Amino acid sequence: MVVMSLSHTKDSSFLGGRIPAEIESMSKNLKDVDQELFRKILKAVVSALEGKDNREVMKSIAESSVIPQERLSYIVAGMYRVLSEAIRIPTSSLKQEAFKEDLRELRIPEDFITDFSSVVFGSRRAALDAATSQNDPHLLTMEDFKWRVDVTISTSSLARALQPSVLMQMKLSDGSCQRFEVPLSKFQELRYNVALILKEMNDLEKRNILKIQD
Amino acid sequence: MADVEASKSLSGLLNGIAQKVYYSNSEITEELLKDELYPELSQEEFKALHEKMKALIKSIATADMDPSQLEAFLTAQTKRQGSGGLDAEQAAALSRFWKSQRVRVRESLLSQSRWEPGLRGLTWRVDLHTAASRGDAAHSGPVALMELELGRAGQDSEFVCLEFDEAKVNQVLKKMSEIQQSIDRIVPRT
Repeated sequence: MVVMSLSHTKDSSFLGGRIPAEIESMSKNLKDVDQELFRKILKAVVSALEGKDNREVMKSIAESSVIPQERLSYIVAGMYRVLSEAIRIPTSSLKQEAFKEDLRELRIPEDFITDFSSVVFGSRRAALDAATSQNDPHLLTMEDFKWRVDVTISTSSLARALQPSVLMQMKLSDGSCQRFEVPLSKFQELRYNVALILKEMNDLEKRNILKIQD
Repeated sequence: MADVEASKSLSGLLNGIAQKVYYSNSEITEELLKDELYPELSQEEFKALHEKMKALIKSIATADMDPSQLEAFLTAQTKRQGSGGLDAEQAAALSRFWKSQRVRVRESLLSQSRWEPGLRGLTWRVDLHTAASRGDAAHSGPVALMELELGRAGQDSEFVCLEFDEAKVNQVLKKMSEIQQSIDRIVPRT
């Protein structure tokens, strides 16, 4: 729904009705920043958006820069906000020209606008989208899957068992482990269902049934 | 007529023993079986019959006898003299009982020696993410949500919910086919 409303009210900025405070302070503090420093910070902010640890880079920027730390922190916060707001919107809805125009209205220098734009609309966009989607709410995922096929030869209650079974162990993304035994009949059911799921997923991609039209 | 009644009572007794011993049905007790099936027998007579049948079922079940083994076993028992022996009706009742209960009794015995939780069931759903607080997610592929129902014998189920993307599902399916091959090497598929 957000996507729809944005695409239909082009008079407003991609930042929404009210310009976020971080972005206003950033534009005020960018005045005497040279492009080299701007690009350094931009690189650090992009790597933060990609979920990387950029504390060292930030520290070295802060130490080597002539701009006071307080102003620097306004700039970093504002750049982060500009990029994260822009990346929320698919490129099919937010056009490059509109994005640039919105930044011009904030009186951001043209060179910086070009740099911002190359992050949002450039070749790194796909990687950024993938990285930010990692932060969406998720269920647990499976990190590792190990198995073993056993044949029970004999037990305390069954002299001649000769019964195969599968022992499965899944390591999950929260670090926990699930180990369980799968009797043969259940294994067939499980295998069938996994194949069915894959087929459903493939069909879904082929049909593109939910391709969102902007 | 009396024979039919006797054979019905005996079938009832055998199934009652199976319920009590193998299917952990605690409602069935020795007293109940006596009162319902053999009210005319004395306590001692019933106890002897009950113990004898219980022991026979145990022998049959532990060896997981196939039909020819069972026949040989029952024939040997009918030839035995004295109170330990079987008559032809009793042998026939045991044979009928085992024919219908073999698979279930075997399953129950196998589960007695299973200590890991077992997979009881599986439900799933395939979703397509459209949007999220962080932004538009329509570019991401479909997601499979899977719920595994796990539980130890006699305990309540636990549920594990997992999320898979297509690559992961593919990977799991590949493992499944490796497992299948490994099973096929031991048990040729029928």
